Order: sequence, then C-alpha cells, then structure tokens
Amino acid sequence: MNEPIGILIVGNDPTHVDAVARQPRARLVGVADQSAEDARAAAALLGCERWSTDVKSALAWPGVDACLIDRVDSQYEEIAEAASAAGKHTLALNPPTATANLHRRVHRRFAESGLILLDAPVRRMHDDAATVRSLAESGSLGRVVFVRLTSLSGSEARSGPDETGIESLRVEELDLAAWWVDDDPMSLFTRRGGTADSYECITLSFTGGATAICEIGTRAGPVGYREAFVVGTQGSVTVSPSDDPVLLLPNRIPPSGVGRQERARQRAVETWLDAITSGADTRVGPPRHVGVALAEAAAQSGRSGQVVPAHPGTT
Amino acid sequence: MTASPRKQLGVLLVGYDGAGIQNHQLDMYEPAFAAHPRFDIVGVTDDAAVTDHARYRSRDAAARLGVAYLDSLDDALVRPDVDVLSVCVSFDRRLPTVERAAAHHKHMLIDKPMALTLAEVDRITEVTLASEVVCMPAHHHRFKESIRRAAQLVERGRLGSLLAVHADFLVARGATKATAHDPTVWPLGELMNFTVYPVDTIRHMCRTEVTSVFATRGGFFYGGSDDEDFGVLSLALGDGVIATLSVGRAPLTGHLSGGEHRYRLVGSEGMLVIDAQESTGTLHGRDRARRVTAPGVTNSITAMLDELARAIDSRAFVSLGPQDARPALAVTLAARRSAETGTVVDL
Repeated sequence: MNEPIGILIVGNDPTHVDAVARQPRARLVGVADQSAEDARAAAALLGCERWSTDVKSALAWPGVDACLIDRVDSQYEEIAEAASAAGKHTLALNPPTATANLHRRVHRRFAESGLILLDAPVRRMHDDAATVRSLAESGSLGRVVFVRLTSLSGSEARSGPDETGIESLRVEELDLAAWWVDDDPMSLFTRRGGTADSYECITLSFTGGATAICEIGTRAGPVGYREAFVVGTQGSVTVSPSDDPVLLLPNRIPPSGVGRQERARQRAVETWLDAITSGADTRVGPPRHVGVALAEAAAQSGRSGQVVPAHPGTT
Repeated sequence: MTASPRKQLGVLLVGYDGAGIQNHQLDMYEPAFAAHPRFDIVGVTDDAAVTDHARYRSRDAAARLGVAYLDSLDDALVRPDVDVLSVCVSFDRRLPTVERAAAHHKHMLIDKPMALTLAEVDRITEVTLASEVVCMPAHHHRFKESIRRAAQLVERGRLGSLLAVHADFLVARGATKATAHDPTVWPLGELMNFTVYPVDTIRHMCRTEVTSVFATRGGFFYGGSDDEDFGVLSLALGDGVIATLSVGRAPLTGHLSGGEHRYRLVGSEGMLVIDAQESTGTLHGRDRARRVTAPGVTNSITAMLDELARAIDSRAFVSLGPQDARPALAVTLAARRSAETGTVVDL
C-alpha cells in the first residue's frame, strides 16, 4: 500500500480541513499561518506534529508532499507560487475572487511544473452541483440548454461560515453554470437590484445557444436558499432547496442542510487526492480563472447596464 | 327582497382556428362556456374566408352542441340572442372580425395572443372602447387560484418591497388534447405562443410594467433554430423589480408530464413560491409520472369566464382588456428583437 500523502495546511480553520484529517490516503504534517497563536492552536487541534508562521520553510519540511491553502487574502498568489516552486501539489479551498489574470498566472505556473492544482470553487463539489454534472455527463439530460441557478444568503446580515459576499457568489454560480452547460460562454447581461446592489440576475449566454440565469443575493431571500432547474434536450432536473439528506428545521430560521459544506470539502479533497495518486483529470470543469473572468464580466455588465462579451479563456 | 335574476348571456363561437393544429376553441373555450352557468352557447359561425376544412370543423361542433351553424358572421351578429363572441379566427382575419363585432356592440373573448402586431392591438382597443363593449384577451393564467392568492399577498405587503419575480413555463405536451402525446413546435414560435402568459401574470402580481427586455431563444427540441421552441427573458419592471422567465415546449421524453409552471417572488420580507400547476402531489402509475390536482379546484378558464360575466354585467370595472394584451405582445416582440440583435431592448 502506498504511503499516505503528507499535507501542509496553510490556514487556521480546523473545521475546513477536517475532510483531510478523515482521509486514509492523507496525513497532516503541519500547519502554517501568519498568526503563531492560531497556527499552534490549529496544529494541536488537528494532531499535527509541527506548526510555523513561515509558509516557505514549512513547505520544505520532510514529509510534505502537498499543500492545502485555506486562506483568502492578498498572499494567495505568493503562497501558491511558493508551493509550485517547492514542487508541491496544491488544493486551494477558498481562493480569492479576483482577478482572472492572477489565477491564469497561478495555473500556468503549476501546469509548467507538471504539478496538480485544484482551485475550482468548492461550490462545484456540493451534492446538487455534482448530481447535475453527472447527469449531464451521462447523457440523461441530453445537451443542457437552460440553467436556472439561485443562491441567496438571507435578508438579514449574519455571521457564520456560510456568509459570503456578492463577488464570491458571482464566481461560484457562474462557474457552476458554465460547468454544467459545458460550452464556451459568449456574453453576459446583469441586472442589479436590492439594497446597495446586493442582488443580481445574470444572464449568461453560450455559443451553442444555451442560456443560464444566475440569481444571487447577499441580502435577499431565506438564509442559504439554493435552487436549480436544468433543462436539457432530453430531460430536465430540479434540485430543490431541501436537497440535503439531512435537514435541520429550526423554529426561528429557515431550514438548512446539515453537512453540505463538509461533504463538498471532502469531495474536493478526494478529487484532488485522486489526481495526485492516479493522475486523474483534476480539471473537473473549467479552472478558477474561468469563473473569475465571468464574474468580472458580469460585474462590468452590472455597472454599465449593457450586454458584455465573455472572454474567460480556457488555458 | 331578492335580487333580480341576471340575464343569461348568449355565446357565439366564432371559428375553430389557430396557428398550426392549435384549437383553443375546441379544447378550452367551448367546454368552459358550455359548462358555465351564466353562458348559453347559441350558435357557431366562421369568418367568410375560412377553408372548407375549418368550416367543416365548425359545423361538426355545432352539431355536437345542438346549436345552429350560421353561415354568415354578419347575419349572426344581428341576432338578439348573441351577447358574447368567443373569437378563435386566424390572425389575418382577427381584426376585421373584431371590428364587425364591435360595430354590432357584441362583447368578446379573444384567443391569445390577441394579435400579432401592436398596431392591430391598438385598433382592437380603439374599436372596442368606442363601442363600449367588453373585450377580454384570454390571459387565463392570472385567474388561477394560486396566482390570485399570490397577487393578494403582494398587494397586502406580505413580501415587503418586491425585488424580483422568476418564472418557468415549460410545457411538455402537445398543442391540443388530441395531440397531447405528440408535441410539435407552434408554427409562429413558442415565444409568441407562450410569453404572453407569464408576462401577463407577472404584471398582474406586481402591478407594474416592463421597461426593458433582454432575451435569448433557440430551437432545441424539435430540430432546427428556425423552430423557436424555447426562450429565456430577463426583464426590468417599474419600481426596480427584476424578472426572469423561461418559456418553451419540451418533448415528452425526460420531462414530467405536463411540464413545469412555477413562479418565485423575492421580497424584502419574504419569498413566495408558487406552483402554478396547483398540484397536490405526483402520481406514479402505469403511465408517465404526472402531477395531480385536488378535486374541486376552480379551473382558470372558468374563473376567467366568471370575470367576463361580471364585467359584462357591471361594465364598471373591466380588469382584463386589450390594454393588457398590448404590453404582453410588446414584451414578446422586444424579446425577439433582443434575441436577434443580442442587445437590451427598452420599451
């Protein structure tokens, strides 16, 4: 049996890397974070041997085969570059939403080094996303011609792991729509509404004629409301808000799935490890910069009120 | 003291025509009028220019209903027992038919879309207003129980400020009852056929008008981009409301029998999810799975006829008229222009 893959965690949220800890194919080697206190605490909680505030030196620790970046900050490119320079396969769980050029550079670096980088939004790993994609791939739907995708954060500001900005939702949902349709995006048109433009309906057109409507809002709808309706030439599928096999029905806030995020992170880690161990295709759809480029175009359309071309690029 | 009994309203069925094989007179209006307690079907007639085949269809209907087939529309229009016309004549003969009926002060229910051009709708508006007759486009979806309840909730402010409306109207069945299991695309395109329904429903629920349209369209299900069977619209309405809708006709394969028909309204205080098929469950039986509806739910066409009778009785307030056909058609035409040019079309 092969040795488990040694992983360095860059970040300090133990809940986000629980998926790695539960993988028999992986072994947590240590934690690197800007804050010594946080790094030490995370390492202790995860049962790691080592911690550091210096990512570059941590990447050189013996036994580190790969790197999991779980940080959204201005240092993402620097960390990713260090990982590729050190020859470490990398999983970016929550990379920044800007800019497409940044992600192109990072991707190119890993591709040139023959290293595996999985930087797709974790949203793509959620049950509904994976289900629709597998249906599309299997031919059950025929060619996908319409996607209606909704992701709303709730009308009241709140804290917690699900809280997300409109930029992040833009990237996630556009990436997902493009992944499901599996065609070249052609143009976008964004209508904005709500308080401080916190609500958007983005129409994404594809060269083959398919259309996706992505409805996103950070101050609208029930908390965590998600819905998808996908129409293909041979069939259609509806993913309801209660797609989770485990549903929490509290009295004071709307229902929410239990474990949705955790399963998605686990699926991301498994996909990444598959790629490292067996050379499986890591792309699982367009790389990060595609969704980011689409989000940039959508934002531009929202500002101008015009239809704008989509040029996300694919390399 | 008892109220004086209201006069029964005599109905003249004018034409069993529709584009392609569509026959709403046969499938929708005739049975609804026949069953409605306020209406009596008194005759069937056609425009003089109809084909022999169409005339045969109308004669057959008259025989089936046990009423007279009247060879001449003009002769039929002078009959005192005719109060209302159910107009299902071809689009090229629709305006002249309406003009003649209005000249004889006959009320009308007109198949949707009421006309294919805004100029025709404007002329219909003009002549029916001048004659002071009720002229109702058959936008029956707004009379669905679910839509009426939703409109009330919006009006009462239960959703707070309305942010957006989203609609999916995907029909997975044929154009007629006889061809329910053999769907084909409508000859004039499903955007022209179907857009009127969700647009009218959205206007009715939101009480505001569409100000701009962006759309895409295609022929995905029936082979060929010329066969427009599906469209997606992004609309801006007054008060900052956004709407998106998908409309089309899908094949039976792979789609739930009947299709999808739903609305979702997003407001500052809540969200409203509407199953416009008004189903209470899904039946998995020997045939394809289909949604089932509770017995006793009022059919939207019957509810529309209730409103038609009320409007004729009172004339004080006619809630649905040519003024509603115009914006629905304007959005449809703008959607086609937008899809062709790839631009946003302002109304």
